[in-house]
Amino acid sequence: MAHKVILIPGDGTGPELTEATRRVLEATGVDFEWDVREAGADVMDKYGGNPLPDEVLDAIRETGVALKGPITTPIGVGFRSVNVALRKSLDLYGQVRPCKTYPGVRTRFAEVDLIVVRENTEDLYAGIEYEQGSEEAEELIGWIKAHGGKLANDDAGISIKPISVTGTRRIVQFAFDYARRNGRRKVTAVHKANIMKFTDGLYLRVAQEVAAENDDIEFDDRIVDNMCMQLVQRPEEYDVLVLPNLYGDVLSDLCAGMIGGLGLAPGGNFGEDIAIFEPTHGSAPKYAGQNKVNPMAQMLSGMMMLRHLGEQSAADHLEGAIADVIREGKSVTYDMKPTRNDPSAVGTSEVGDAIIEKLGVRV
Amino acid sequence: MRRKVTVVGAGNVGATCAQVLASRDYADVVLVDIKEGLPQGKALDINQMGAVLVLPNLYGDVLSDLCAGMSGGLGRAPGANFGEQAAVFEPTHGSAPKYAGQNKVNPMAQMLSGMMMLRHLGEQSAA
Repeated sequence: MAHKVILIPGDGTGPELTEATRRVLEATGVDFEWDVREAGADVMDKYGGNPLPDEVLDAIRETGVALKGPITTPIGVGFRSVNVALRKSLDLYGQVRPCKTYPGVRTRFAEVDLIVVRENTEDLYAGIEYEQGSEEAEELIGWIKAHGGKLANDDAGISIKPISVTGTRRIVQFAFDYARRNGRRKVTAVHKANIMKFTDGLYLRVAQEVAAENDDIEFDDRIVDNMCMQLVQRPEEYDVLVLPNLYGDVLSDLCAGMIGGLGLAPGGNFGEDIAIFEPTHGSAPKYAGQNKVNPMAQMLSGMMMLRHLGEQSAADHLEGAIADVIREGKSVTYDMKPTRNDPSAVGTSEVGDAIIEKLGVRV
Repeated sequence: MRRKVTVVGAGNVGATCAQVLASRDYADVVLVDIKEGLPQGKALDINQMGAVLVLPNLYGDVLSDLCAGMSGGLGRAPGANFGEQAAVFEPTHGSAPKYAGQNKVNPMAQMLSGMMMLRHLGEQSAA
């Protein structure tokens, strides 16, 4: 049976990246029924200036799985970020970023194989902020002082950090489920519970509770600053990391940098019955239509989608084919060559061709 | 051809001038002084200044450990805490009570903190 998947090409270089990815996914032999939906800056004029038409959201809700190209938020007043709007409208509470070093990539960190699971709805990114000098900020500062709190200075803007039992339980359970589904051995909860006792402390306590209910998988925890040091010193000792929103944001980019950069960093955003797969990078509009940029993060996102759809063997084949092309270092884009102006660099679609050729041998 | 500027006098004025020239990459900078060791020490500082990152509390906590990890771990990471009227120099690591009295642990972070203190005291060449 064909898998029905919403395909959102995105804008900028998105259409080229998703086209190359669609081709390699089909070359695995898995059947897809693509439902192509437009969103982003390049099509917003068609939809009354809305870069994220409601019908796209409805289609994703109905189908449950989407492969999405990068989308750039148009600069200007009144535009919400398409990516943030997608997360909020569909309650995509869990972001997954696998970070794995493939041999042949130039990096200082050879043995990285991490999965960063980031809570996506709470924490300091919840959007509860009060501008310095505003009536609300002054009132809040007054309230804090009246309730025993001390501020180093009164002329402060204030952001609120909500961490809930419900949100923590949901993301940590998700991390264990994801670990189990993907054959991983350990989950590490990352926090700053020694300092922020009522937010990160709660996070750690709930994580430990959830871990006790999932004792088939190893569990430990790390303080976020120590975690960063461990990552650059002994990354091979870690497996799945589960983090509140802000730490997850920072550490997922750190880990992406360790494995060779955003050009190789895929991602998935998960809700209760919805999963959207997309690369971590932006849409690089200045290279749009030039058949130039690296499609591997988009393709690895497609590989994650295959696993989500239960197509493990196709996913293994695709990952192996991508790894082969990276190791040979021949049919790769300019960013993966020793110098950026290397004349032997190939284009986006040629990377797809090379991977399809490898797949022909593997499938 | 790349220009060269020679700054004569490696005291606070000369060294600051050299640092500004170097940081803006106007030219190669040579620092000289009649006092032995001083220009060499200052030049070394300027050469090593690299980028300075300034961060809010939380990010600073996270990134300082990250950078310590990249430069060899806490055993080599010195630190300082500054206020308006005081400066306290100390290593980044803890006191490892289980190794107390064993003449065992790495003193480099503590010594490098002392080196930072020498600089704070104006003892550039000793530092």
